[in-house]
Amino acid sequence: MKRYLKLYWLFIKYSVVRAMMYKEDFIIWSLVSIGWMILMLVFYQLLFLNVDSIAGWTKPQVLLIQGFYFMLELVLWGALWENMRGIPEKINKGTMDIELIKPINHQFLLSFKDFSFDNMPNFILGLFTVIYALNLGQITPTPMGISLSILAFIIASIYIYSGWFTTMCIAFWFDRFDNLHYFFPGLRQFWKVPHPFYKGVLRGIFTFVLPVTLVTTVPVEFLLGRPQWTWFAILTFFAIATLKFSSWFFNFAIKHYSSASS
Amino acid sequence: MSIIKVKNLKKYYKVHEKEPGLKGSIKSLFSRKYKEVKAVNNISFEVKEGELVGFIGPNGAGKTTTLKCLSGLLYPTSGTVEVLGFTPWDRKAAFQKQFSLVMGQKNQLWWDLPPIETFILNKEIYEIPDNQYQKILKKLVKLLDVQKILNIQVRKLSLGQRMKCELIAALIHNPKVLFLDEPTIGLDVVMQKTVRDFIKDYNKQFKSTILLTSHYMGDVKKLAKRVIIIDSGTLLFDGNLQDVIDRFARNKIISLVFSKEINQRELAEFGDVREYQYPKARINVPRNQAAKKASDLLDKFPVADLVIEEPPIEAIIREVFTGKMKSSKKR
Amino acid sequence: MNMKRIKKTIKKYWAIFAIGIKEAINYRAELLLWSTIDAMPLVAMVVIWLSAFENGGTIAGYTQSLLIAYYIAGYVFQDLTGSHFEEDMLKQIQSGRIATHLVKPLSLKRHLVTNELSWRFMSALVAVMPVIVLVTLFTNIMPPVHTIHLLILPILLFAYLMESIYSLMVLSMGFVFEQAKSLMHLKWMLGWLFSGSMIPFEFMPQWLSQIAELLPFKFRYYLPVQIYFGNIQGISILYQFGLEIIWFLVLLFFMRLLWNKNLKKFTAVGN
Repeated sequence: MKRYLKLYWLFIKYSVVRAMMYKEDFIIWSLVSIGWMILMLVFYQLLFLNVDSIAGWTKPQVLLIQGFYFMLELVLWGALWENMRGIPEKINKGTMDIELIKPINHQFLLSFKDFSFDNMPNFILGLFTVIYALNLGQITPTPMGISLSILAFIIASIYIYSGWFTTMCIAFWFDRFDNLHYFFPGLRQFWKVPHPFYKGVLRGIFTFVLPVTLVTTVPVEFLLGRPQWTWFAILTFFAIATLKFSSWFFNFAIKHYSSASS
Repeated sequence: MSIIKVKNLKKYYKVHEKEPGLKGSIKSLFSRKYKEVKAVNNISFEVKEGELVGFIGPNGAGKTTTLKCLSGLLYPTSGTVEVLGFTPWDRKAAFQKQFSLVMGQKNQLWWDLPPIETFILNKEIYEIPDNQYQKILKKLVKLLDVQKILNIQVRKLSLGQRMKCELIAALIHNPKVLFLDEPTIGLDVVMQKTVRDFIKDYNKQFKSTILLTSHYMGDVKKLAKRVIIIDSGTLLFDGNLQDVIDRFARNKIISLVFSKEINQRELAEFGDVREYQYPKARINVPRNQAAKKASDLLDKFPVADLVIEEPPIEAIIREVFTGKMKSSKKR
Repeated sequence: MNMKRIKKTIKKYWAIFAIGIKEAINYRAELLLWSTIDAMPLVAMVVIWLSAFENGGTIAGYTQSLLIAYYIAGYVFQDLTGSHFEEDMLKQIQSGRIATHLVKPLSLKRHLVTNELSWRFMSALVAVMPVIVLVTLFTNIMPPVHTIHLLILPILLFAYLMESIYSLMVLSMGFVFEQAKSLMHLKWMLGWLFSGSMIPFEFMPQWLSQIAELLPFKFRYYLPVQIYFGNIQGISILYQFGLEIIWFLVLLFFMRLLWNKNLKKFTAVGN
């Protein structure tokens, strides 16, 4: 609905205002994000100093995965982090009630109100990494490949959001759960690695139960001109299904919260 | 026309008890003892449009729980509630646009931005038309005198200024019903007066129905003609405040600090001595004689300091509950 | 120092430790979750290496089993020597609550370091034990343990103390620098690269591994693992321990300087 788009625009506008108000913080946290990204690249540099390829993936191809990983950091830490962190905090402080009396979709309000603009550098550096990797591997993606890649990125973001928000709803059963918001983003360790690296049971889990590893591999495979339609379908299915589930689970959690809280 | 109808409201909780110490913590991992808390135990009342009603009771009496049921934040264990024709816990947007809940120190203002930005946010959330927004904003800003601070970051404002802006944020959508939970808690005397005056003016100007809870006698005295006294989840009294004071708060308390030792028995002639530990003393005197007794005490004794106080609300309520004040002879 | 005083001190610190355990039990949901979250990078790392070794052989002198054993052993040592109190305490500085600790007749620093031990203990119980049990039962990639390996314990103890020193340094910066939390990230970043937790030093170009050998971060991960693997023996172990003590004293000295200087600034100005 138009109203929600307008509100989201307000949220982003305010995040920029806030970032500009605290230029010092913005710079420091940009440096921190960049530091982590550089370290990640250092790891692969060191790794590929000692091997030529891993499970058929060359260095440029693995770097593409890293690039998309960095871009997804904007989704994790920019769009979602403050909000997800805020859910158990609001429950603990008693300010959740103030949100729940507002005449607006509460999942929307709780999920998106506090955008953190400090993470823009992640996205930009991720983009540079992708371009560098394409260059290094002398890969030229087709316009179709690029478009599908972008689509897959958006779908991946929806999946990540739905998964994270669903886990955060667990907070409504506790009056304090200080690190619950760290759990889902912990899974990002798994999507730093190309999906084909996983074998056996893990491969099964990451394909059919919790396809988090597809969030980077699917867009990258589109860019590489090796579209993985099955994985893309799985990712899309899970994105939509988890989104719907998150909405149902949220209502279920609120029902519990409204019976039990004091 | 009753705008709020509460019938036989009950809200019970299960709370688990934990033994102290390290052993107790380990024990609680394996077996838990639960006890039932009757936060609200069969309360019924009705409120008409435009009324300003005060809910008083000691901490834990069930006031906040009742308000939360009225706001739709809690499902009751049993009973019915109707506000503006809606069942609150259905949480219909149409209902939520017409009421507001303000809870003591719980903030909704964006910390790092000027208050005006939160007002604009609420304007969008409540879907308030532009001209209505401007009109109400103007009125509220004038009433609270905050014109100069609208564009200063909330984190830079004083507690009092913040409280005023919180009130505007909560009222910008011109709610027909306003629930205030401990609105003056944690505020200094000056701010308490400001908030009380504002609530009174708001009620008059905007004709909204207001329910406020408090454990400060001062809040209720200043604001509400009608009070509902709650204790331990039960409704003890519903009627005029003056009746409560006349019937139950018969005494006032005089607190004294003496500059020299005195004879305690002589002090007892002035009233019921509740506490005596040199140099401090507290003495109960009949309400209508308080001023005279105070001046007599100042004449007779070497008094360094003297304060006349209301009995704490808990004492009044205890009296109401046990009916002790019915006859002074029984003391 | 007479017996009475010693007894009293032990009692005092035991009380802090006991409260820490109690808190940890209270926070058991969080503890369980931390162990799960901390295990994830380990699993991802193992997956990468399993794929890298698909064609067998050795990389940088490591076989597949040995490399995985490296990461698992390192995970155990890392978990036992972590120090995390600065995150919460930084919040307390921001909110002003730190004042209540500063006026208590107990060194805040010692309190924090002792309290953190109880979290290490709980972590050992909840995070480390299961890993050790699972790995020993289901695989045989872990090299056997010998009595000489007991020498790892004092190395880990001082590694823990050094971690606490970093935490205290970050905390002390919190007194004068609003974004001190970023220094926590710096600590983690330096640790990740130079402790050996990212990748064994053998994988690094020589200039980088030389730097890593000189810095104190290795005592928490790379060094104890190499002792465990038997790559460092006898006199070399004592030599490394000596280096560790020197680093510890140097860091302790600088931390104290920093702490006192920053605390003075903090209490002079207020907030």
